Amino acid sequence: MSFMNEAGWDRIARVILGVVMLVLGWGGMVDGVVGTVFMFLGFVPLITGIVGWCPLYSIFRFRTNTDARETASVGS
Amino acid sequence: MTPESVQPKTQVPTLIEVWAPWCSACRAVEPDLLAVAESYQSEVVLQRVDASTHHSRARDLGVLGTPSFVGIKDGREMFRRTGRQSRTEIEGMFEALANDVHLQPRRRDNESILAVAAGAVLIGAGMLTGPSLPLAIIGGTLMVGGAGLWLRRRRGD
Repeated sequence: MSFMNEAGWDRIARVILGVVMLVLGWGGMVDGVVGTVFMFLGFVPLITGIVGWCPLYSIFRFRTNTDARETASVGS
Repeated sequence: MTPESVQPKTQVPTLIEVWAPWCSACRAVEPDLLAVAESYQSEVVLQRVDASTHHSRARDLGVLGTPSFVGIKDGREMFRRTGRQSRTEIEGMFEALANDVHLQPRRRDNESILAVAAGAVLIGAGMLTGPSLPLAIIGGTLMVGGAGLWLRRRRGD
């Protein structure tokens, strides 16, 4: 899909990171502030990895999926 | 053959490709496109529109990026594809126009696979670490959502 700005490796890395953070947070392996941060921030890489779109990439006009980069805009 | 000189005939199925000289993906698909077009030349007309010189034509087609492929048959738009296409996908477009074969939408099952896999890992990890009810709920939601998305796409919704 054209809105996506993440490559396959990027998405997999985000999903793995998100899963690890959620397991550490919700599984009680990490306590305190860090554990709480993991409990909620873990959703961010997980969701952005599954969807394939990163809002920060969009803001900075960055992308890691080169296939989409090859699609030029008409009039560019 | 200068493909841009080929004019679309209303009764003849036509595949319009909008390309641009600066577009690397257009150059990449060109050999396959021309080869497939030659094998279907009696059934499908290929019209290539250079967006750099025919800007208004590209805009009339509603094309925003190159390469774009628009399939026209009996005056109606049958399908539209944008981006680099494999030879199989190019053949599929010609086949769809020549023989009324339904053009399958490009499958994007990555989301459902990632969601189901992440959900399964979360449920497994939740069982090992507790068991943890929140992890089971998060994992179950991801698995059900991913499976639902996959089933919906299989049905062609």
